[in-house]
Amino acid sequence: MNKQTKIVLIAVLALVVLLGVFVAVYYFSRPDTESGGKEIIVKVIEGDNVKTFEIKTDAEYLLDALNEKNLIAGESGRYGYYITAVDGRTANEDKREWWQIVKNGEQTTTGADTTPIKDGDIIELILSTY
Amino acid sequence: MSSSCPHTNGSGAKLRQLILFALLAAIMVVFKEVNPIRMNIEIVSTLIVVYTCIFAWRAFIPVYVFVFVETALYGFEIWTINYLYIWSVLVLAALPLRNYRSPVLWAVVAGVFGLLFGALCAIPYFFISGAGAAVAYWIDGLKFDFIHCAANFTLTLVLYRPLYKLIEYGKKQLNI
Repeated sequence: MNKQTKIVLIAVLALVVLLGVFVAVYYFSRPDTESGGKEIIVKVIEGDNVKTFEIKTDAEYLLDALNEKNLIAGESGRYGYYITAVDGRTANEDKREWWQIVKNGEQTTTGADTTPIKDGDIIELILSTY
Repeated sequence: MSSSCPHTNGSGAKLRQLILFALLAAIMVVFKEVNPIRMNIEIVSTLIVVYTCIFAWRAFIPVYVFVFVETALYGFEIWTINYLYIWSVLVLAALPLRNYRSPVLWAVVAGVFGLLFGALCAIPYFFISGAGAAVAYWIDGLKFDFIHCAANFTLTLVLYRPLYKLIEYGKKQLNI
């Protein structure tokens, strides 16, 4: 076995090991989800205007539940799914607006695609400025 | 050609080198900008690996021209800090292996780089917001790192040899 072949094999092994470790970190760090039917409340808050939606869903993550009602539009990015519009109202970037996600009174640190939902959750989508 | 000819004398060679590196940087910028799929599928890593194989430490030149142009295009933000060191990590990783020509080896190097991209990008967050924030940032972006790893591996496996031959040919034609 020549030197190049040895180096290639070591490199491939290193990649496989690293991939295995990272996949393990990914799966063990994911928040617990709840399967099966659930009902959540979604409040769309724009200033003093509040619209409330009840969503019955089997979805495990918020994005899927919101998409079942065609409630939002957005785009995927490095930090997760970024909501750009809710119930037809698009956040105006020129006015530094954005749609904030609050789950059970606490702002989420994850995008809608990685925010798990459970039966009884109250989700607030608040048009905010930064 | 005579030694006084600008095509063969020292100043001519330096000028040709300057133009070549500017062109190599422009290629990186163009391929990054015309990429219709943004999610960490890019050819920049493959180009850097090829540049390092052909030009060794001089590969830093097109890399930093690329960083400068990207900053000029998009403004100075936290990703600029990432760009100041992240592509250099790939050059440094490739330098000791630059005499090897195995596309599989280079695909693995580019793949590992793609896998570590998020972790490398998390470094500024460690200093700004602490270890917890850096780890959270890294874990949040892991699925994009998997895509980056697979894309880098595949693109480099397929494109390493043709790109190497093309750029090596250009280097010889320019007598650099």
